[in-house]
Amino acid sequence: MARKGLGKGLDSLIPDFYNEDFDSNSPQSLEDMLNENGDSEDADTSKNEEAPEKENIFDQIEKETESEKEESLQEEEKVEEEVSQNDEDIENGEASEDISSDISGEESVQTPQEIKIQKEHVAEVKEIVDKNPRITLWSSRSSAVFRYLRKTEPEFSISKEASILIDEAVSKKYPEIWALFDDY
Amino acid sequence: MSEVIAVMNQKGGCGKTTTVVNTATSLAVLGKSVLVVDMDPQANATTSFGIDKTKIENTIYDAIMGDINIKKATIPTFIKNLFIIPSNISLSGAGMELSKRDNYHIVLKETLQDVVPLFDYIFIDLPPSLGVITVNALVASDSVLIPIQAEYYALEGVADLINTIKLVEKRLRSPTPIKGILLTLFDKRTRLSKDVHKELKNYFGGTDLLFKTIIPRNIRLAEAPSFGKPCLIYDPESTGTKAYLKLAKEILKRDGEI
Repeated sequence: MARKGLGKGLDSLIPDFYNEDFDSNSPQSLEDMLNENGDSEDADTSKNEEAPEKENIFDQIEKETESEKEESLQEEEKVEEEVSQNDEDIENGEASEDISSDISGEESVQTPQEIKIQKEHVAEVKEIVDKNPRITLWSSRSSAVFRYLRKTEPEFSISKEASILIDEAVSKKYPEIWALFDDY
Repeated sequence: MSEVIAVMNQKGGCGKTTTVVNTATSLAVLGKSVLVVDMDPQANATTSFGIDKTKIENTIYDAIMGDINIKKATIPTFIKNLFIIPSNISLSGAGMELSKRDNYHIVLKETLQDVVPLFDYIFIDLPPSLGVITVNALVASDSVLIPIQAEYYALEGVADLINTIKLVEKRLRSPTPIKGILLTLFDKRTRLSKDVHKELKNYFGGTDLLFKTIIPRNIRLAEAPSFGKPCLIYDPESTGTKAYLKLAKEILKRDGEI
């Protein structure tokens, strides 16, 4: 049955606007934030004093989100390029060669070149994670359990509990990959 | 375009602070940049955002007294795009001090002018009185939102409140239109709540002043401040949260934003 109301799925949106680790008693003020932004701005800002201020404070996070979006767009473009390249390869009859080389690779020991490629992936992944450590997942049953706990335990944090459980499971299932990111 | 909204009613316990905290949070969640100005010395709006009022260095009092720049008193909250100018008990003496000044009624307006353009919505939470602070807030505001508790005595105060708004308009030449009347603490099980709603409809009949959204009496709304959180964070699925989100949407709709 479709659920009515505005609260539908609101829990999942909370991490987007609620910073659980925020220190409400931090001495940082709007003035400090404006000064921080002002320091990094070029001298051009003097041309229009008000507009850049507003943009600096509130659009900072937006910009970060946009850069993430750009990254994901770039990734999508990459995938599209690879797909189209793959189509071209098939047309040119090159795909069969790739497949055969893949099969031969499975049986052989990893070459130093392959390890290097893996390391490149690690660096790339770290760069992405540094910017956005959040993951979103769909699970009705887990969602039900977490929501029940949230309703029965006032200070229960779905995000915290989910990350503890998922960390446990991921480290068990993929210990080698888990070890690659031991600095997190 | 920024809009300053004073949330006022001289009656205590009608949901002023709850309305400020949760409407501001809802609007921030809906993508607006919002500032809450706590003009109540009880500082309940301040503590609702997890701020320890005994530890604040810069408050609205320091700003209106001219001791600090208003931007110094404006601090971020744990909600994205939601800032607050906190208050504490020191504000209780402000009324007396302000009344000695020339043009005492424009002090808050002048104090806020540096931060108002930075936000889409500015909510002023007021104490339950009709004194100097309230007059200052009326002059500083573009509109007034009046929460009314669904009880008999609440109706009696509405006429006084509207008279005060008209008096400020006439004497200080500062018209402050009513943004809307919000029925709060509505208990659908009681006949009294329904009667009050009916009375309000009759009183403001033919106008769009009465918000369609009604805020129900909800235990989660009452509990949330004790955890230093707006209800939207404390219990996103509660009927109180949903009601304030609905109100925020109604405000945006009235303002032609959606």
